[in-house]
Amino acid sequence: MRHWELMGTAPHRRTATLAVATVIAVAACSSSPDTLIGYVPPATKSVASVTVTEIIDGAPRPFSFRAADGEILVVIFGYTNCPDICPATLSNLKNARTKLGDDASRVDIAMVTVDPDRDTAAIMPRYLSSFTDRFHAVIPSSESELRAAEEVFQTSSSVTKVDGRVEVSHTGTAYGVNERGEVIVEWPFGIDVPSLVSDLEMLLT
Amino acid sequence: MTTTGRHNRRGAVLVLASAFALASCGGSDTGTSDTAGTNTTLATSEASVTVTDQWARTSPMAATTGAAYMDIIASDGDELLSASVDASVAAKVEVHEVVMSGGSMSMQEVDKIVLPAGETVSLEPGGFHIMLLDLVAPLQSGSTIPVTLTFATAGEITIDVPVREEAP
Repeated sequence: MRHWELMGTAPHRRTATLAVATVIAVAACSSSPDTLIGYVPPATKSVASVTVTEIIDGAPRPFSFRAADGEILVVIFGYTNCPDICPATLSNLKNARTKLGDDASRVDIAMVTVDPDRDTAAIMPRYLSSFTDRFHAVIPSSESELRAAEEVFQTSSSVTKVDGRVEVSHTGTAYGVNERGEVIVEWPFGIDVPSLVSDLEMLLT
Repeated sequence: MTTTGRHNRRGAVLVLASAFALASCGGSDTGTSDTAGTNTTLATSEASVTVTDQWARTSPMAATTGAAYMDIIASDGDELLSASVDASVAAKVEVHEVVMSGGSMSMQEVDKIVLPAGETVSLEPGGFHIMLLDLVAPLQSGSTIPVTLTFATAGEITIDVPVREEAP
């Protein structure tokens, strides 16, 4: 028995019919939603106070978890050697952005590596570029910087070496952050693409 | 473990031409996807073990690990003990399960996956997966990897695993 539901891989997968056009028009939801499908934190969860390090053109730059005006910043914590969870989430986000059409450019993605020893500046941006053209490769410059970021998001991770093997633990949650640097929605691992699209469309209107 | 006995195959998925050209190590253009649900060679049946809907995820750039997923049903019950691929694909293959502990997820290698008689066991994202370690090259969308599965009773079965952007 699982402890959680994997909506993204449930057998009740919708059949999507997509129209071929210069602008991608998707009819994933027939009516405009009025509630978010993802989890909405009951109290304001402010994450803008922490400054982390992102890599731009190979160089470290300060970055704050705050979306640009009119945009949503989706934040995930993971590592590039992750074979399952991280590629699945990033793939779903990629698909969701594609289905947003023009609004895809208003969805920004930040991945914070919980394994900065192995996820170097040479690796992370390349990894993320496989999924999105809007990304922030956040490589914490110290453990305290990583923990500070984890604390405001109320998440955690661990990297341990066991018999020469590196074992990493992290949450699979994707956090939707607004312009004020507040987490306004949290998507659990496995949330399906139509739900992501519905929530993003609602947040971007 | 999950017992998803049903798989609703997608209807025909039309090829998209996307205005957003996203780089992908899979080698496929963004937004293109092959037609799903019509591949009759997906099922492999030998002895009493049937494997269906197998797929491996296309590699992001700079990735060194990969994952393969599938549905397995052993009519008389069996156990998946291990998997292997040619050394030209990956150096090592392990069977893993994602476990949750207080919200955090981590993988652990499992000695085997028990296949109760007549029950479909799914290896799927967030659950069991066949992990490919130290990939020799990124897994390219549209290619196929032969994977040899070793079962306690059925012995060795080799299946062709298509590399895709997402589940079939």
